[in-house]
Formats: sequence, C-alpha cells, structure tokens
Amino acid sequence: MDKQSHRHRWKELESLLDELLEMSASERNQRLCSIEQRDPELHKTLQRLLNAMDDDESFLEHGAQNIGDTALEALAEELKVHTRLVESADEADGPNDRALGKYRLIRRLGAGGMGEVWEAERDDEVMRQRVAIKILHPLVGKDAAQRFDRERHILAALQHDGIARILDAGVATGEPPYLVLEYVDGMAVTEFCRDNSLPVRDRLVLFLQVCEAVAHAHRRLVVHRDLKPSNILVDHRGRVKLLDFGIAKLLDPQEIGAQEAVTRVGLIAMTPEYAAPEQIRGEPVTTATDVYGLGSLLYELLSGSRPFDISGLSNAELQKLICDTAAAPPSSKTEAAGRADSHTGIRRDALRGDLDSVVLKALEKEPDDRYASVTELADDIRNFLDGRPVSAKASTFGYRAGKFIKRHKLSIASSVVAVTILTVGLTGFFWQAREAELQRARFESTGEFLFTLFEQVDPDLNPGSNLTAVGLLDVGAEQLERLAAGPEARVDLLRVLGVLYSKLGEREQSETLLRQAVTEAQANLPPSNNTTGQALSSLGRVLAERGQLDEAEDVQRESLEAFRIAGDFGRWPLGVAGDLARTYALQGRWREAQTALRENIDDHQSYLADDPRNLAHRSYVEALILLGELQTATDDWTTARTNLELAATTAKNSLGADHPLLARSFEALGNLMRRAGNSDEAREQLLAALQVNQQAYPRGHQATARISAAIALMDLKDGNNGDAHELYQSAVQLWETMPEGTHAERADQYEIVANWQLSTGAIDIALTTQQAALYARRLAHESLDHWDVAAALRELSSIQMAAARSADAEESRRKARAMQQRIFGKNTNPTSSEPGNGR
Amino acid sequence: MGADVTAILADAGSRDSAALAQVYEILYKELQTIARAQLRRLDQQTLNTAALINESYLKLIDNSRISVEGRAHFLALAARAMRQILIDYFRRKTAAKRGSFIKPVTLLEEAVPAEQRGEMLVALDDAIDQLELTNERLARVVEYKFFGGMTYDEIAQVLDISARSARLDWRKAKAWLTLELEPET
Repeated sequence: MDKQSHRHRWKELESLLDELLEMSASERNQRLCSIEQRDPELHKTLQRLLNAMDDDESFLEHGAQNIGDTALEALAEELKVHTRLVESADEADGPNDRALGKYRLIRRLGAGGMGEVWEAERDDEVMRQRVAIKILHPLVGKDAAQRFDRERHILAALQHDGIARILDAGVATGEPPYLVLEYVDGMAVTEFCRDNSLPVRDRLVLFLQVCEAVAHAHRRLVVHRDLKPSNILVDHRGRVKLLDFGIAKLLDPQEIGAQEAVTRVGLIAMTPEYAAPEQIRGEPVTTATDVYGLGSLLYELLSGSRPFDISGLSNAELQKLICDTAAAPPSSKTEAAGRADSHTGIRRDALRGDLDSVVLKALEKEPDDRYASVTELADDIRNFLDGRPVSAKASTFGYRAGKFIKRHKLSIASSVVAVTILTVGLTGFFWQAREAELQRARFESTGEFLFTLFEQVDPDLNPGSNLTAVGLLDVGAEQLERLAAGPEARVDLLRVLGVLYSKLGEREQSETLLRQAVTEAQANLPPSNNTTGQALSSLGRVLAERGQLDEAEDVQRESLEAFRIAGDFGRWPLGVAGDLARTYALQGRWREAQTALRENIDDHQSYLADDPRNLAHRSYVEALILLGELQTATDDWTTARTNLELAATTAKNSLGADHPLLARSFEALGNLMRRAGNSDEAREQLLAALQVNQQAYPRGHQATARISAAIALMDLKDGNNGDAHELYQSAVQLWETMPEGTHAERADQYEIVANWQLSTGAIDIALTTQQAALYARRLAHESLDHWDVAAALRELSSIQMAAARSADAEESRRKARAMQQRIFGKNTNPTSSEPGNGR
Repeated sequence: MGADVTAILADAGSRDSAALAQVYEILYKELQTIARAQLRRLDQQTLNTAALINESYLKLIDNSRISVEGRAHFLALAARAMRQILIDYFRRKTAAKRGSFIKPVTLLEEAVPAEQRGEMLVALDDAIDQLELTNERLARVVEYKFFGGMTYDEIAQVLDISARSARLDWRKAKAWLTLELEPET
C-alpha cells in the first residue's frame, strides 16, 4: 500500500481500529481471524498498525529530544555561532558588544554558505588596524579548528604585496572559527578593466601582476584553487590584491580525506563556473589548477565573457561542458571583425592568433597539457608584449610531437619515479607517476623541501614573519606527509624534523616522528643502509630525555647493532655509545656509565687520532664532560679535573673558542671547584664559561643566565653583595628578553630564582618559586620519576625547613627519597650526591 | 513581557488567534534565546528540548496567576515553536545538501554527521502536515507529545478531551505515522 492509497483508506482502517480497541482480547482475536479469512492483506495491515500502537519503544515515544543527538549537536553548534553574531549585530549597546577576539565588528560585508564576512577593527594598546574577518560556519567540519590552526601557519607565510594577508585566526573552543584578513578596498579586476576601458596591453600588465602573486604562493606550496574576478581586486592605484588564498583548501572535503565526500559533487569547494576539469572530476588540485584559473581570468579580461556559459545547465551537462568541450577562442566572443567590442573596446584581430593560443593553452583539459607553471604562462604574456613568438603557438602546430617529447622528458626527469617503479612494480606505476607529477611542481628535491621550509622564517624574505619555530616544524611535518620522496630521504627528513621538535621541547611530537622514521627505515631500507641506525639513535636520545630510560637503552643498543650490520664504525655509532653511557648514568648505574664512557673515550681517541677537524670531536667532548661530572659527583676530583680540562682543550682546539661545549666544559670545571670548596677558581671557571657563552650566543641563552646566576649566588655567599646583585639582575633581564623556554629551562630558572630568594632571606617567596620549579620539572618529565624531579623535591624540602614548616619538609624529603629509590632500584649509589645534569 | 503572556493565557476566554500568535512570537524568540543560553552554560553540547520548554515557561509565566489549562496552552504553543525551530533548521540543512552544484557557492557546507536523523525529523514534519489534513486533532497530539514532551493530561486540557482520548489519539497517530513513514516491506 503506498502513501496515497493508505490516506484514502484511513477512514476505513480507523473505524476498524476503533472497533477493535473497544473489544476484549478474545473478541478482538476472533474478529481479526474472520478478517484474515476474508481479506488477508487487510489483516496484515491491521496487525501491523496494532503492533505500532502498542510499540512503546518507537522513536516517536522518545520525543524530538532523543531523535538525533548528533543532529541536535550540529544545531547547537549553529545556534552558538549565531548567538554571537546576532548578539554582536543586534545588541549594539556599546562598541564592545560587537567584538570577536581582539576585533570590533563594524559592518557586515557579505554572507555566504561558509559564514559571514565583516569589516572589523583592531584597536588596542598593540595596534589600530582595519581588517576583514571571515567568520566560518561551524558546519564546515568538526576538525575545522585544528586544520585551521595548522594551515594558517602556511598561509601566514604568504607575504606578497599582491596577496591579502591572513593576519590572525581564532580557533578557540566555544568560538566560531574565524580568519582575520587584510582589509582591501578595491574593485573586481574585471570591473576595473571595464570601468577604465583599459586597452589590451594594460589588461595584460595587470594580469601579469596577478601571475606574479600566484607564482609567489606556488613557490610557498600554496595553491589558490578558486581564482575568479571577485577574488582579485584592484585598488584605486591599480595594484592587484588576491583574496582568499588557500582558503578553499581549508574547507575542501578532499583535504579532510573524506573519500565519500568527493563523490558528492554538491560539496566541492569552488565556484563551478571557474572550476577546472580536475576539480569537477574530484581529482587532486595542483598548481596546474591555478594555471587554468588564470587562463579563465585572462579569457574574461580579453573577451568580456567567461570561457563557458553554464547558466541553466544540469550537473551532467555542466560536467560534460567543462571536462570535454574545448573553449571557443576568446577572439570569437568579441564582436564582428574590424570593430571594437562594445563591452571591452577590444578588437577581434588583437586577440586572434597569439593571445587565443595562450589562453587556450592555459585552459587545456588535461593539467599536463597546460603551461607547466604560472611563470611559464607569464613568460608567454611577456613574449607577446615584447613582440616575440609565444610558446603556446608552437605547441598548437606541432601538437603531437610536442606532447610526445614532453612525456618522454617527464619519465626521464623524475628519477624518484624511476626508483620507485623498481620496487613497486607495474601496478603502482601509474599511481606513482601521477603522485610524482603532483609533487614535481612542489618539491624538486628534498633539499628544496628544507629550503622552502626555512625560507618561511628567513627574515630577509619574510620580514616580520610571525611563524614560530614550532609552527615552522608543523608546516614541515605536514608537507612531509605529502612528499613523495625516496624512502631514505623520507627517513632522513623525519629524523631531522623529529630532532628539531625535541630541541624545541616538543618531545611528544618528536617521538612520534622519530618512531615513524624508525618504522619506515626498518621496513623500506636494506640492512646495509646506516640511516636506520641514525633514526634509532635519535629516537634513543628523545626517549632518554623523556625519562623512558629502559626503552632508550634498548633502542640505543639496537642502533649500535644496526650500525654494526651496516658496517659503519664511524662517528655515529661512537656518539650512540656515548648516549648509552648517559642513559646508564640517568638510570643510576654510575659505575657502568663510567666504564662505558672510558671505553667510549678510548674509541674516540683512536678514531680521531689523525684528524683534528673530525666531526666526532663533539661526541668526544660530550663523553669527557659527562665522565668528569660523574667523577665530580663521586668525589673523584683529580681524575674529574683531568678529564674536564682535556674536554676544554679539545673543545677549544677542534670546535672553536666560541663553542657552547667549551662553555659547558668550563661550567663543569667551575662546578667541580665549587664542590671542592675552591670558590676563587670556581668563580674564574664560571666567568670563563660565561664569556664563551656570550660569544656563542650574542643575544643571550638560558646557559648564559644560568651561569650568571650561579656566579651571583657564589658572590652572595662570599658576602660580595654588590657584584652578586648586579650579576643576578643581568640574569633576570636575560630571562625576560628570552622567549619562554621549555619546561626544563623554566624549571632551571625557577630553581635559581628560588635559591636566590632563599639566600636573600625572602623565604616565603622562595617557597612559592620552588613549588613552581617542581611543577615545571614534573611537566618536563611528564610526571615520570626522574632524578631532576627528586632533586627539586629535596630543594623544596630544604626551603620548607628554612620556613619552619618541618612537617611539609619531612613529607617532601620522603617523596624525594622514594622517587630516588624507584629510579635507582638495585643500582642505588653509595654516595648521596647527584651527577651534574647534562642538559 | 512575562506578565503579558500570563495574562493572555490566564484569560481562558480571550483565546483569540491574534493574541496567541503574539504569545507564539514571544515564545519562539525566547526558546531560541534559552537554547543559546543553555548551550553557553558549561559548554553543553546537546539541547534538551523538554528542559528548554520548561525554562521558557518559568521565565515567561507567573505560575501563581495561571490556571492548569493556561499552563497546558503555553506548553502547546511551545511544542509548536520547538517544532518550528527544529524543522526550520533541518529543512535548511537538507536544502543545502540537495543544493544544486550550479549554485555559485564559494565554499561548501558540509553535511552534519548522522544526517539522516535530521531527514527523519523533516519526514516526520511532512507526515504531521499530511495527518493534519486527515485528522487535525491527531496531528496536534503528535506535535504536543513529540516536540513538546507534554503529558496526556496536559494534551487533554488543551484539546478539551479526556486524558483517555488523548492516549487513544496518540496510539492511533502512531498507527497512521507507521503507514506514512514505513512503507510495507
């Protein structure tokens, strides 16, 4: 029974139901039986309805509230955003009501499927600036905020006069995600040309400005993907500004990896009229897509109409038109020969020939057949302007031959492809070839990858870049995902990025990348390749830093084994052996650590024998310092001094008089002297360390501040108050100018400050500071047991003691001792002292 | 504003459509406001429609001056407003999803997860409209119970029928909706 017929039959059904419901159960059964005999179909329906009536589990019983929690969630989201928008727009009681983040909304410039665009103003102590704010619809995707945060770093690197800058982004939870963009006062490029009746030459010059901006973005690996006149503005001085660069990508379902979304044409993030065939087909977007977009724009600038008229077409027709039908030459769209077009004022014969060829080449259906880059397109325009032959024309004549040569060239040029074919086999060929082609425009080599990455923070190229180092790495890590490099290069890049992350204190991210490096190395590289050992070595270091000492030990041993199998007995395995010794030390296995270090130092000496410039001097000096520090801690002062002095000499001769390791050697010597009670020499060594550090880091460094403060403390204890305060102040000033460091660095700072406060009698403040230090220490070691945390607890205990809080002091001391025992286990050392930290 | 609403509803005799339309307007806005407030509070992620209506009641109605019947009428209006709010939203969503590729949108509007649940709600709304043509009272019962979470007693008050009839109506409405929404297999 379909819907229509049941509506007609409802009267009959209803009266039957009424009747049945009035009856007792037995009467009802009887009645149903007789109906069944007469009309089995009707009986079936009635039975179904009766069941429905008694169904207390029906979704109808639960009410709207439970029908779609997830759907309601989405509604909730929308209401949240609208609340803010509506509140900010409607309740204009005071200027502060209409605000989003730091920005005051002034007037709405437009609204669309993606959200709203507002003119806004930032006006605070920092700056006064007019901006455009794009407030995004929360339905652009659950992870929009995260993707935003990631992508805006990339977009922020686009610094070109022809590109409207992304100034800021709001991705706080509970707020609609928004983008703050440079406010551009201008008109669409097509309007500008029309209003000023620009001749062909001027239009082309304007177009070249557009090309330049797009090429800039392409060099920074950003594709616009939605180039159209309304996104290309010209200000009153005739300068071009591109809007919305890379923004379409933020919202593209293909980028989210939602495969099913690709098939839903309705979700493709672009303007169909200007879409390239590959966008319609749901294929990956590359720089060639922008070449198409520029071709489309040039078409409109020259002929006054778009390449395709899509009004009134169905999706299927549209798809066919854009993907299969060649565009008519722009000249054919102008009015009859010999007369100027009434819209553009351009004559048909001005376009015929070269310009037609250039536009049509940019509009080729297959990305491979278009200009290989925006620069090539621009070059051809310049050829035209200078009266030289254009390359596009040549390709129309010798089309087949040209195409053959181009294909041939591609297969030879991409050595990456050639290598992968061997390993992947033929099935992977086409995919690989396409992937490689996609990446070709982006990364000529891994070297370029790193180069472009660092270009983003190059102060000369990108003055005032606000990309942080970590942001830069995020960019790198993300680009790496898409990089189709050889397996060895990939492992190498993963490793380098991983190491950089750890240096910036982002250890979790570091560990993730390094683990990936190891996994890929073990899966894809032959045992004879020493890259595997290198990846393991870096992973081992980070694990040790994170306090995962047992695993660090395993990984470091594995690394040594990998190097042995690869036949590498050079500086890398020497360094790893030193790292392993450090891991022993951190585990409290000081005797083993010392034995391993002595062996490692011997190995270094025979390896380095004849080569003063060998890079292994670094790990040699590190091993010497660590051994010296361990010997200091075990009161083996004479040997400690010998080793540390050797470290200093070697560092100075082989690494340079301004090397941080030389400073470290002096600092370790200073600490030795201090422990040995020779404060004069301690002061001398620490001053030497300070001096080297100032040369190594002219703009200051944690170590500089740390050493200054250490000297200040010694001075204070020696009653040398004036010098002490001065030095201490210099350390504080340094800290204030430095960016906030890692947790460990901040813990160092707090401990020094607490020590100073205690020494100057500010006991209560010292207590608070040391608690902050302990907190930072715990963060640094991710709440795991660690020697440094135990040390911070002991320090806290002594300050608590000084503050006459003996119960607290006892508690802290007990915790410290327990942690120490957990760390050392059976390896508990005979002495109560600690190894100098090797940070 | 609250006093007006109470007055209109308290005056059982004056239930002319203009006055009720006015209450409906107020209520619709109030529900949205409360929904937003509810969402802001403690970062709540979902809406509780029953709680919404309850809160709007407390805000708009002076309970000491309103009869049981007045309260029931208020709830009935709230149910209707709730239906409107939810359905407006999901219709817009469904429209956006069906939206033609030709439509020159710069950026997409992505489908919400569990979309078909919203579609179900929209289908239910259509079915209620159909039911209204056949039997208006059954349609009202569904609206009150499903969107307003009203009890049989409250429904009975508004429709001026017995609670037993309200219950029977509900069961019959379920039968009808089964035919409408679940084609025979």
